[in-house]
Parts: sequence; C-alpha cells; structure tokens
Amino acid sequence: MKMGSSAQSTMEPNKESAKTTPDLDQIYRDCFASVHRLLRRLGAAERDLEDLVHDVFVVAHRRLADFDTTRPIRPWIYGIATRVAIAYSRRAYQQRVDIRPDVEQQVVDHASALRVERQQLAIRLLSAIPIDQRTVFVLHELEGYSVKEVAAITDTPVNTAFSRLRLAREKFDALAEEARRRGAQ
Amino acid sequence: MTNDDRTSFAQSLLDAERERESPPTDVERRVLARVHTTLALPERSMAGALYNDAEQTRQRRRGDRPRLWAMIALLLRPLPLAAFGTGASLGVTTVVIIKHVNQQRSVVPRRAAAPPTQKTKPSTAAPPTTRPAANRPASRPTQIERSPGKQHLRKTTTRQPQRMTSVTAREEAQLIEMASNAMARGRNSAALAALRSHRGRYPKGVYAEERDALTIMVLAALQRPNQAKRELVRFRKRYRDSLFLDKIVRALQDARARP
Repeated sequence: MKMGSSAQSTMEPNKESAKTTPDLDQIYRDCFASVHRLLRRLGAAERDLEDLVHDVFVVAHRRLADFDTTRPIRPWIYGIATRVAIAYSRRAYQQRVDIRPDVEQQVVDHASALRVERQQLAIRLLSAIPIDQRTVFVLHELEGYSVKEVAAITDTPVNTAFSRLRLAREKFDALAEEARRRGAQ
Repeated sequence: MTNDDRTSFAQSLLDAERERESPPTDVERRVLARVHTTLALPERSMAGALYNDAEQTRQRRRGDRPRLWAMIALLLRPLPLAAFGTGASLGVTTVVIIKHVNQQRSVVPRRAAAPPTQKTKPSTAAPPTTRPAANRPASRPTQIERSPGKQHLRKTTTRQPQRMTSVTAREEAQLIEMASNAMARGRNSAALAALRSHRGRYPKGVYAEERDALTIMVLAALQRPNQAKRELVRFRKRYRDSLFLDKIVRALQDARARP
C-alpha cells in the first residue's frame, strides 16, 4: 500500500459501518501501514517505531468507546498517532545519544538506491522542522489531507494550521536547498 | 539556481518519500501480538495502572458530585416554616439552614445519587413544622447507613501475593525508569511519587534495591536530609554490599554541600 493514496476516501464517513463500532483488529489491518509511515515521518527513530505504533493502537483501543462511528476512522487514528509522536518528541530520553544504528533499508539497484537516499534525506530534513509544523506539513503534503482536515486531526484552528504549513514549507525548502548545495559541492 | 530548481528538488524528496513502501508483514504481526498482549494484561500492568490511576481520580471526583447535588437538592427543599419564623435575622436563618442540611447530610449515603425523598421518614410521620429544625436532636446513623447495601460498597481489599513474571518485572523496570527520568529532569516530587507507587505495588520486587537507593537520592535532592539519613540506615541494614551505597553517600554529601 502506497502512502497517501486513499487519504481523501478515508475522510468520508463509512456508511456501511456507520452504526457499528469498528473492531480493533480491523482498524489495525486498515491503518497499521499508514500509522507506521506517519510516525516515521513525524520523527520516530527506527528503533522506537514499533513501540510507538503499539502505543497508538493501545490508546485507540482505550478510546474506542469515544469514537464517533459516523466519522471515518483514519483521521481519528491519525489524531492519536500525532499526539503520540508529539509526546515522543518531547520526552527527555529522546534527547539522549543512542549509539545503536538505525536499521537501513536494503538497496537492490541504482534507482531504488537513489530513492532510499532521497527518502532518508527527506526524513532527516523533516526532523529538523519543529514538531507542530512538521505534523501539519506531513499530513498535508505527504498524506494528502486538506488543511481544514489537518486542523481537525491536530485539533488546531485552521489559520494556525495554515501558518504552520507555510513555515514548514519554507523551512523544508530552505533545508532541501542547503542539502542540494552541499551535495553539488 | 532558480527558485523552480529549488522547489523541484524539494518536491523530488517529497515524491520519493511518498513512494515509501509498507513495513514488512512480520513487523505488523509482531506489533499486533504485542498490542494483544498489552490489552490482555491484568489491571496491574504498567499502562493499565497509569490508566486506572487517572480513572480512579476521575471517579473520586465524580463521587463528590452526588453529595454536592444532594446538598443543593436539600437546600431547595421547603424548609420548616418555623425555622424561618424564629430566625428573624439573616444570620440566624443561615445557621438554621446549615443545621438542617447537616442533619439531612447524615441521612444521605455518601455516594448515592438517589433523590433525598427516599431517605426521609414516610409521610405518616409528624410534620417537620411542629418543631424548629434548630432544636432537633443530633442526627444518629440511620437505617440506610447500616444497610447491607452500604456494606456492599465497602469492599474489603486483601492484598494477594504478587506473582513474579517477566511482565511484572518489566512494569517494575518502567516505574523505576520513570522515576529515574523524572529525577534527571529535576522533577523530584514526581520521581518520589513513582517510587512510592513502586513500593506500594511491588514491596519486595526485583527492583526493590534500586528503588530504595533512588528514594534516598531523591529525598536528598528534595532537601530532606533527616529522612534520607533514616532511609540510608535502613538501606545499609538491608543491602550491606550494595553497589549503590557509594553513589547514595555521594548524593547525600552533595545535597549537604548545596546551600
């Protein structure tokens, strides 16, 4: 499943399951990959990714009773994931130096090597953006949600989301430019 | 370099990131198994314990509400006319109302939100206007307070021996780590709370030594030298050859040196 491919469709309420509370396993099957990707983009280290995904679904299970079944599930679970990621980024131990290397993806050919390199660079650049701005940027640019939807997911005013998106774009572009200049030298 | 070039490079990075593939299925299965394990844990698990603590606090707060509402309901009830008649001034009326409420509060069970009419005497009883509320005898425990229902509310909690498993050991470690992190951030009160929580849950846990050592250091950091010294004496008796002793003594000396 490629990311962001079904973001728009998942924003629409699922009429078939409008009356029934979704099962955690079903939510997990539907959202695991996207939550995993989202957390990675929001700055989770490879070694902590599984723990954070686990936390998201445990919280989702506890909050399932509060879930409005007329609403789509993915923005709701993304809301939980963003809060978990924000809490993670603010945790003190996060700032400790960890000498364990992150697990790198296996590279098979030149094209995929270039893609993996760019993905890693993108993640590195994203991690340099403040978490609030990064969340809006990732949800809008990579997950395909509109700013209004992002504001609903992150529980922020729409204007704030717009402002954060603008700042994040500026930062990301500047960082990308700097990285390109360094690579060209 | 033009602005378009710069945007296109940033865009290419985002495009590459958009093409990121899903995580492997074994990761998916592994995390799902962990989620199920966590959810199947007993209430004393770490995550469950934290959640339950919050839930209990909420319930305690909720438990106060019926009492408040019962008081409001009682205040709105028609008070004996004689009480108003005799109390000419506002101060006297207030005293009468307070006494009336106090009497009624003793009738209302602590956590019951049932309407107060159920707890009053039947309508065949003498009307309250015959005697001023202020002159009524002091309230005594009523039938409701001694009823089996009330006894049912008071559960006798018996501490069951904690079965040591890898799960409890992990929870213990998490509590200790939480305390350690809090201490590192200078949140000594939070650290002490986590350590006390550990002591309450796992008095003879595998991390008891670490807990006691940390407790002394936290007490020293909180500028409670006497308590820290008492704990140190106990610690020395309990763990004579502890590797933490040097560190504890140093922490106490540092605390003493601090102004």
